[in-house]
Amino acid sequence: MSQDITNAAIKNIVIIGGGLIGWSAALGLARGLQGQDVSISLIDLAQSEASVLSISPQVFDYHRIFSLQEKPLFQSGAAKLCLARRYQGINLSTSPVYLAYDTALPEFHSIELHQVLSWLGETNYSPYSIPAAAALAHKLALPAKGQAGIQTNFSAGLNVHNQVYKDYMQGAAKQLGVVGYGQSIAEIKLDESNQFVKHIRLSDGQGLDADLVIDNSGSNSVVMRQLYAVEYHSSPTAQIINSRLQAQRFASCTASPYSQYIACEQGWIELIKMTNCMTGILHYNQQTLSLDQAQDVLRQYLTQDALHQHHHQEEELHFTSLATAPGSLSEFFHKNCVAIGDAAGYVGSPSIENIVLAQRAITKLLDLFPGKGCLPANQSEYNRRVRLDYEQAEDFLQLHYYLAQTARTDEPGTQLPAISATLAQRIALFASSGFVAYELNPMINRQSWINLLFAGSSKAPAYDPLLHVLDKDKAKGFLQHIAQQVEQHLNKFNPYY
Amino acid sequence: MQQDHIRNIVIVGGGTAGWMAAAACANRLPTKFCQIRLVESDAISTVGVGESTLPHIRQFNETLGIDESTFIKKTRATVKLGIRFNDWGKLGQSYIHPFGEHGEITRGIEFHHYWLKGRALGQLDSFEQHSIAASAAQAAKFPVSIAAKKTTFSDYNYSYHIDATAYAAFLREYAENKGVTRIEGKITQVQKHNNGYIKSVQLENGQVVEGDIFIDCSGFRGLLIDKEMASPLIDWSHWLLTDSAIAVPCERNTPFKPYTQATARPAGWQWQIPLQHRIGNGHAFCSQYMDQQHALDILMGSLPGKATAEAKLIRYKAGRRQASWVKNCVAIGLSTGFLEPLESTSIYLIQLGINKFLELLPNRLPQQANIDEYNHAVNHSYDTIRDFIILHFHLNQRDDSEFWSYCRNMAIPDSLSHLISMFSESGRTDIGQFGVWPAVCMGQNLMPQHYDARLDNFDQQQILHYLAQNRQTIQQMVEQFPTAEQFVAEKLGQYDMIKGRE
Repeated sequence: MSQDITNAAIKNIVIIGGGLIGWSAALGLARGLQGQDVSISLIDLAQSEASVLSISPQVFDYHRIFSLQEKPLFQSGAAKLCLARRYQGINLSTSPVYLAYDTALPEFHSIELHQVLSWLGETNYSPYSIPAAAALAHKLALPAKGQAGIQTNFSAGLNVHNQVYKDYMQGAAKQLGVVGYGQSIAEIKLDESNQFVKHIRLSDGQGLDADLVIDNSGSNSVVMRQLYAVEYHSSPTAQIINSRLQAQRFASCTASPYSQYIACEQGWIELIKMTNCMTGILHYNQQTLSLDQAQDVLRQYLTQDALHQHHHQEEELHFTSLATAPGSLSEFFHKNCVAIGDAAGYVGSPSIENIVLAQRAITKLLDLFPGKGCLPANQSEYNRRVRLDYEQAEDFLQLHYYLAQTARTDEPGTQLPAISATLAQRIALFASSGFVAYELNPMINRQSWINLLFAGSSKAPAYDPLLHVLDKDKAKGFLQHIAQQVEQHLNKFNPYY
Repeated sequence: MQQDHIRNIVIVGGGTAGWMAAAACANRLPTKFCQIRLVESDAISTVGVGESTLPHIRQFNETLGIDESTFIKKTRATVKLGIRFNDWGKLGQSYIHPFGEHGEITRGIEFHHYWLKGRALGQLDSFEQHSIAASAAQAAKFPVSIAAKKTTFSDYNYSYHIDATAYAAFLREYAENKGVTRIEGKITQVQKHNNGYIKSVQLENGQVVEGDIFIDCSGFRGLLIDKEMASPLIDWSHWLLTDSAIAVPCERNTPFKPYTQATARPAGWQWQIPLQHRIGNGHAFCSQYMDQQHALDILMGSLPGKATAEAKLIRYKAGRRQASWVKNCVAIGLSTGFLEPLESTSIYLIQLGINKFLELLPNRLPQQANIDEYNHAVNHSYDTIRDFIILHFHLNQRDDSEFWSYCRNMAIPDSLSHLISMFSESGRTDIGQFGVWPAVCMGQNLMPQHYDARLDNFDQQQILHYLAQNRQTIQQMVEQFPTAEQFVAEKLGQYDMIKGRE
C-alpha cells in the first residue's frame, strides 16, 4: 500500500556535473538512501574547481553523518589536517594573525577568553589556543576535548588536493552503486503537464529517467538557468570581486598546518602549502586589474617565500583564470531540480568553500527529502533553510572585506563596502559588548565569528562589565597558566610535515 | 577605556518576575559590582503567574544552585510530563502534548512518518503509545531514569506544577540572602534625565530610589515601559481572543496526575493544575462570546474538589510590547506582553528575558546594539510562542459555538501559515519550532497528507515490526516506573533528611 501516487517515492536521481561537489552529493545521497533501491546516475561534465582546497572543519561533519572511513583519504599524503588560517591585512598590525578552528576556549569566572583579553588590552589570542599555537609552531595538534588540563576544544579543517578528495568521494559513491556517465547531454525532456525534467538523453543515445535532478553544471546551469530561467541575484561582493586567478608552484616546500589569507591592495590572496606544491589564488576585480597585473601580483606572493630564495632559476608558473559572479539563485529547489555548487551560487573565497555549502545542502535535502511530487511547502522550506546558509556565508565573507578596508581607511579613497543589516548588527554588538549571539546549527561557527571580529577590531572591543570587579592580577595569572599549559602540551604533538 | 559599568539596578515590582529577576541578577552579579534593589508594595497583589511550568525552569534552578527537593518542598510542587488537551479537536477527544519527541529519527526520517505509514497499513496504535512521557503521564507514573540519563530511543523531559506565589517568596529569601534590598512602598512618581532615561522612582512616603537601569516587573500596568517609555503594545487579540480568566483553587482528593489539563470550553478553555496541597483551576474565556456569570458557572460546576478560596477575576489582552527594552528600562514578565497560559510559557518567558538581559548586560551609557539584540531575541520568542498557541485555537473542528468557528476561520500570521502548510502537506517541522508539533497537530486531527515518500521504499513488515517493538518497549518501561506520587514523596523525604542533618 502506498500513498497518493502523485508523491510516490523517488526512484531515479540524476546528478548533472561531477567534480568534487557532484561526487560528494552522489555519496551523500547514496548513503542517505541506502537500501531503498534508488538509482543514482552522475553525468560527468568538465568542472572548473580549484586544484587545492583548504576546507573548514564542517567537512568532517559530512564524513561523520555518512560514516565515511577517513583513513584512505589521509594515507595518500595529499590530504592534511588544517589547524588555522593565517591572516594578513585584516587589522592594523603588520604581523600576521593565526585564527584557529577553536570550538571552545578557556573561560575566566565564566567570562569568555576574548573578553578577558580585551579587558587586559591584549590583542593576540593565539598563545591560549592549542590549534593556533600548534599552527605557529608547525605541530600537528589532534582535536580532543579538554587537552592540557584546560577547558578547550577545537576541530580541524582539511587541506586537500581537489582531485584526491574527488576520487575519494567518487570511489565511495561508486561502491554504493552510483553510476557515472562521461557522455555529454543531448536532450533534456520535460513532462508536459508540470514541466518536471523526466528524461535525459545522452550523446550516445543512452537515456536516463529522472524523478529528481541535482544540477551541478556550473554557473550557467543547464537546467536551473538555461531551462527554467531561475533568477540569479548578485551579492554586494560582486561589486568588489569578479575574477579568480590560480597558480601552482611545484618546488621543494613543506606543508603548512594553516592556510594563508592576505588582504592586499589588489584583492585577496589565498596560499595553501602542501608537500612540494604551493597553490595561490588571487580574488580580484578585472575592471581595476588586468590579467597581466594579476599574474604579477600572484607570482610575487608565490615566489617571495623564504624557502624558494635559493631557487635562482625562475620557475614557470601555470596560471588559470576564471570569471566569477558572487551571488545565488532566487530558488535552489525548483520543479524537480535542486541546484548545488556553482549552479546554486558563488559566495567566493576566502574561507567560504562552495563544498561546505553544497554538503550542507545535501544534508538539508535528505532532512526534507521529497517524493516525486516535489510538494510546494516542503520545497519552500528547503529553499528557506539553504538561503540562511548562503546569507550567513555571504555575511562572513563581507566581514573579511569590511575588516580589510577598515584597516586601510587611513589611505585616501578607501571606501567601506556595503554590508547587510545582520552583519552590521553583528559588528556593532561585538564592538559594544564583545558578544556574539548563539545560533542553532549555523553555517559559520560562533567561535569563528568571535576570532575574526576580535582579530579585526581596530579599537579594543568592549568586554563584559563584570570584569570590573574581578582581580586583574588573577586574570593575568590565569592567562599565564593557560599559555604555559598550551606550550607544554605542544611537546606532545609531532612536527607537521 | 570602557565606559563605567552600571552600579545600580532597580527592579520595580515583586511578583514572580520581579523576584526571579532579583534572584538571577544577585546570583550572577556580585554585590561589589552593583547594588540590586527591588521596590514592591504589599498593598498591590500579584497575579502569581505560571503555576504550570516548562522543563527550562530546572536549568534556572540549577544555575541558582537550588536543590530540587528543597524546591519541591517550598513550592509545594508536583511533577509534570506534559499537558493533556481535552475537547480541542472535536468534543470528546483528548491528547497529550508531552515534553519530548515520540520515538527517534530512524534512517533520517522522523518517527511520526513511520507512525503515519503504519496507520496507512491499518495499524491502530495511538501516537501517544509511542511517547514515554505521554504514556507515563496517562498511567500517572514518573520516568525516574530521566534524572539519571536519557534513554537512547526517546527523548523526554519534565517540569513542575508549582505554587508561583510560594516560588516568589522562596526566591525573595534567596535574593535577600545574596544582598538584594527590598524596599516597601508604592511608586507615585518617576523622574527622568534630559535624554529621557529614567533617573529615579519616588515612593508614596517621599523616598527616592535612583538607578542606572530599571527592570519593569510591574505586571500588566507596565508602570515604566508603558507609562514612561511609551513602548506601544502590539495587539494580538484578533488571534488570541480570550480576555478574561477566573481562577479558583480547590481541594485535591485523589492522587495527582503528572500533567496539566486544558479543557476547551464553548468560549475559551479551563485549566487544572495539581499541586501537593490543592488543585489550581481557572477558566480563560472571551467576554465577547460569554458573560462572566456563565464562565463562572462553568468553572464552579466542573471543579474536581471543594473550592478553598473565592474565585478571582483577571482581565487581560493578548499582545507584546513593540520593544521591551527602551533606553534604561527593561520590561520582564507581564509588562512585556501577555500570552494566555495555554502552553505554560509565562515563567519560561520571564526566564528568557532575564537570561538575555544578563548576557547583554550593558554599561552605564547607551549601547543600542545590545538593546536591539535583546529586543530582537525577545520579540522572536514571543512571536514563535504566539504562533504555537494560535495553532491550538485554529486547528479545531468544533461546531458547537461561534467562538470556535471564528477561531477556525480567522486569518492567521504568515509565519504560522507556513508551518501549518508544511506539516499538513508533508509532515515537516522546523528545528527552531516551539513545542512538539506532531503531537498537537495530529492530536487535533491535522494529519499530514503525505508521509515521507521514502517509507514506500521500505519493507512494510519491517515498519510494522519496528512500530510494535517501539510501543512494547515503552509499555514495559512504564510498568517499571514508580508513580508520580511516589517520586514526589521521595523528594520530600530527601528534604526532611537534609533538614534533619542540619
